[in-house]
Amino acid sequence: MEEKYFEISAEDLKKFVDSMIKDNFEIIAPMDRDGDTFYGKIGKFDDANLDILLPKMSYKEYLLPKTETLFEYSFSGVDIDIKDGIESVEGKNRKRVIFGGRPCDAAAGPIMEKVFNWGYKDDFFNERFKNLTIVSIACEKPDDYCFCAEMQLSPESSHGSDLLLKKTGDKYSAVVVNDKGLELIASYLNLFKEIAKDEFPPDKDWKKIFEIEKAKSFLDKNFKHNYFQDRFLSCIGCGICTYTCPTCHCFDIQDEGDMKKGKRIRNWDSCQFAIFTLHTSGHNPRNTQGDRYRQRLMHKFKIYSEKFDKYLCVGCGRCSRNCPQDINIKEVVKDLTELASA
Amino acid sequence: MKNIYLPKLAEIKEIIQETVDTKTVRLTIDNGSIFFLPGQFGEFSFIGEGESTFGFSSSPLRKEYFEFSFRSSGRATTGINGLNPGDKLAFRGPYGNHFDTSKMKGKDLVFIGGGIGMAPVKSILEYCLDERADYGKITVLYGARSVGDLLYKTIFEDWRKYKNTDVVITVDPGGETPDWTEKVGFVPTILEQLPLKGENTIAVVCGPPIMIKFALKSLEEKMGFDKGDIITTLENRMKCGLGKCGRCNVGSVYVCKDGPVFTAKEIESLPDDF
Repeated sequence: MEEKYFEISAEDLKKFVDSMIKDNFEIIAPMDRDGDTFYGKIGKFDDANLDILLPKMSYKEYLLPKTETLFEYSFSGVDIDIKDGIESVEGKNRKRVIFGGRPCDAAAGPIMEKVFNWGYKDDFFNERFKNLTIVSIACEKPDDYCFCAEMQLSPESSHGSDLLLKKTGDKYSAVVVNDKGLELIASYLNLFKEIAKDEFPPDKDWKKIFEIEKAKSFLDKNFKHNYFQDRFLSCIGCGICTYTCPTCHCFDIQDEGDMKKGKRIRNWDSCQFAIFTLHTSGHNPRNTQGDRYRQRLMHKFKIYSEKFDKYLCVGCGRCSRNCPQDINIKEVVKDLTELASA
Repeated sequence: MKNIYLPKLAEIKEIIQETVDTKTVRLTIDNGSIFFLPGQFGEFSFIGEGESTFGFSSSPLRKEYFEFSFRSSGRATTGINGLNPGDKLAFRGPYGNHFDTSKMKGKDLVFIGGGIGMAPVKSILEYCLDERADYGKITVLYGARSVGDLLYKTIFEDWRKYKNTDVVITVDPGGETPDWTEKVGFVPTILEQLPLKGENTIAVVCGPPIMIKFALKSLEEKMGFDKGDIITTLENRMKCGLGKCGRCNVGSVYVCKDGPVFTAKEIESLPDDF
């Protein structure tokens, strides 16, 4: 479908969201909780905090929950009864909308979709992704941690969104990217005013401080470079970078229960943990924190791009903002580009 | 919609105590085997204790069962260790690539295994023995730390019954017993003493990393094998086996999906991350 352009006043945007809630949509938006801002289900438009640049966590958990049941089991004698966990996602959450997320978070969905669909198709992810409608709001002022422009996106990118809003004064300009977006606003069209493409505010020229391709060219040739061991000596391996990351998708599979009944679950895992790759023999291919941070860089800027598409990073900067050791990935990647030219 | 993480239940037909801590488990689904190829692997579990990754150790041409060998060492394997014939085991697979037997046909073959690394070698070895006429001379070299650590002891003689097939068994120095009549020496040392040449020969090597390292060195540098004619398997910790969970990669290669079977030439181009 060709993109369509609209305008909506701030007042009507509130009506739009409140009407959807009245019509039983589940609206997930940035909201204040526990002294911070997280994505969560809002009861009314005013619950949302649309002023914050980025919530603490991305909305990854609506695509890949922190923990989810793959199946439940129960024993009777030697017989085992298995209840398929896919039933818990099948056809569910069809009216779930992420509202007021940022373009970086929206771009993460299609990036993860590739991993969950090469060869084997992960329908837990696919069903959730298919049923999610994404209404993003462009950022007006990225902060110093942000580097989406460097990651070939932008604070105004519509990539991954079904509908993107841009604030202009006391109204919003909207671009409907696809049928899913159009379907969402179809019942509320009286609140939107269609405009011509050239009335839609053009993207600004966002400055970049490095070229990501250069970082890849360094990673291509320098697996054993001292930089990794030296730079990440300070890393304590807490894994917060991977937990707050919208694209990190590595997981663990565990059984929880007893000899009568229980469940097999999958949990978020992190390449920053030593046990992630520990062999039964005691051998660990990634033995130091330097090895493990290198893996994160390799996976994001080399492995993913060789295997799938572009990069496994949207430049949201959450890993830097939340790092207890102030490791700033934007500076790290800039280092790599400089090492490449050195 | 399909749940790719959902296992099937297989029945344990037979359990063979190979060593003090190693067993071979023979499984059936509907009284038969499943379709797989040598080199592939599966995710096996006693449900409630978690999954473990094992390569198949039987020939897929032996249709009455499929088997794997394991060492009891953690929670999941201790769970499997407690099972008896007639019990059910959960299984997902087969996964991964496989040995390219079309490339091996008409050639001499040398199978080199170390310790429990003999398990995937046994699968491709017995596959070739089952189709014996398709291959030239077959040499088997299998070593373990000690006599007590050798798996498949009861079937060495079966392998020796095949025509034009040499079976050499060795244990590390100090691992022999007083009545031991076979070789004593590390696998690479014994390998260099065998009458083998690199021409028209394919080598299959599986075992601990240190053995693979030195066996490859012997084959390439002293015996004239081409790197493309040496086939081995990589091992890395796995959870899903499906190319999703993100821990088994070596560079941009996912061992679970692009492997586990690689030539020495392919491995040469990979970063040292295994």
